[in-house]
Amino acid sequence: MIQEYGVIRQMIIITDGRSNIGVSPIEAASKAKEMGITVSAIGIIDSEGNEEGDVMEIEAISKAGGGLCDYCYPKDLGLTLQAMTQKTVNHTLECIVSKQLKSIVGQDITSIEPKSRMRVVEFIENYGERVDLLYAIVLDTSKSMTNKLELAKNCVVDLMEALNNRKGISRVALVSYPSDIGSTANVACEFTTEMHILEKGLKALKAYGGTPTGPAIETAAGLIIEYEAPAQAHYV
Amino acid sequence: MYSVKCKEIIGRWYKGKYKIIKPIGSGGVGEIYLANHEYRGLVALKVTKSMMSITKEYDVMKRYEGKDYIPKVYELDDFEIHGEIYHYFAMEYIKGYNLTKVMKDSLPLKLKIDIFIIILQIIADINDEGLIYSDLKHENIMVDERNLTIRLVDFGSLTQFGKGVKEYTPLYDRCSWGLGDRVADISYQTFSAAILLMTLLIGRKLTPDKDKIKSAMDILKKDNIPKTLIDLIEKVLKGDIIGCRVFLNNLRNIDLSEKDKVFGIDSWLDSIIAILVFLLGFMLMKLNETSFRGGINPR
Repeated sequence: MIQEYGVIRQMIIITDGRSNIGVSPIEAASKAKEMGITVSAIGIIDSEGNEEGDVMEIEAISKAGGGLCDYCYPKDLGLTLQAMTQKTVNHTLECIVSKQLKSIVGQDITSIEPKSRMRVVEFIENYGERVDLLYAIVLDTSKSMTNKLELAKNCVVDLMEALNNRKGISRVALVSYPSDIGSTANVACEFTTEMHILEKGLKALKAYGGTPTGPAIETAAGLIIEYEAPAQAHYV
Repeated sequence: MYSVKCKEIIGRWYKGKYKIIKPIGSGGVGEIYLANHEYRGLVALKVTKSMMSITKEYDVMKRYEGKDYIPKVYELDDFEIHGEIYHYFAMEYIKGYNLTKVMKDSLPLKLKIDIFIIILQIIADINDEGLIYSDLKHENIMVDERNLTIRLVDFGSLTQFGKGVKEYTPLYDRCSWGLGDRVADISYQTFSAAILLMTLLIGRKLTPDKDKIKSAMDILKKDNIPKTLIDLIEKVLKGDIIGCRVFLNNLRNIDLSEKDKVFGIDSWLDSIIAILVFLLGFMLMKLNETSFRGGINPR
């Protein structure tokens, strides 16, 4: 029965700058999308001033990854992260339902008269509450994040709390970049539903080094693809 | 920032024709424009790319149409510019100002409380429908200039009891203050109402911080607010008073005359003076005693 709802595979990148090491993040995002993963991104706007290129890269990543993107000041990160998560889950479901509608009746949602859309919307909403979620958070821990890292950690904990209020099972993994080697990403926490495991992973994170966004997306995509839900989870 | 750059839009389904006049606001889910409709005259258009949120908001406003605090809504429709589809609905344009202005104006305490009581009644009415208005904030509450009534303008945050809160503003959010979780329950609602009252009284907004509720209460105390009122706000924030109607009844029972506060200061000063006089007397006595003794028994 639960199987019917399927699993939604998502990743969200939280960064304050532009990638400068390794493969292009846009190519990595596009590959992830081909694997059925939606890639979204949040850019933290700094008072020190971001360059236009940073903004453009985030937009390009989320476009290639089939997700959404948003920007915020550090103080609004928590709210943005939660709103974004909800939006991308709904967005993904909207796309799936729209595709299915199209294959059944040859129409997508926007070709239904606005008056009659509420029923589809209600369906998507309920589905969104119940569907299982594999959610990889890809957190930039490069040197420029030094002053924002503690805040970002709190926001991730808040998000996990919010996700645990859903009816479906939400598994969260945490990928941070760069790793100790510098050019790759680090799996700070494998997929889990347990807050204390995530918190342990967060606690170990420190800000240093460059910004290998592309390799980080590849690592997160690998985690999601390799993950197989434990058998008993289907009967929970 | 505003995405609708064109002068005129025509609805894809119902062919409503609108001349865009100017942007008048933006929120988490969309942007609001003042527009002129060919027959209806001035309306407010809520425009977004998020089909889900706007459809839900329209549905709930339509469902409770007729409640006087809900602006009248017209049609939900789509339009297309530069190959992008936007969704919008038209609603009554409310000429007036939002509660931020009321908050910043130095109005008499009694008047601010009276305004808040009207808001609390509206929120209680929404709660009676089994819904929480999770994004309660100054910006979403309008004072209609024509008849000085209170109107709410954003219904995207209505959440059924028991569900997770998805739309909120940290200042009014119990979880951001570290005083509970982010779930649509009646105490979440009363908490946000108490913050609304608190900011209305002190005339400015605060930054929420876990474990900082005490300093917020200290600000109230410095601001010449009657103690009974501060106590009430504190009780609501701590979850000892739950439910907008209970809050309302408690608020109505408060004596708003400043007597309490004036008396408070006076008695405080009195006691200090009394202590000083006593000490002075005591010291004089001591002095007297020593000089007296000194007089009798010189060494």
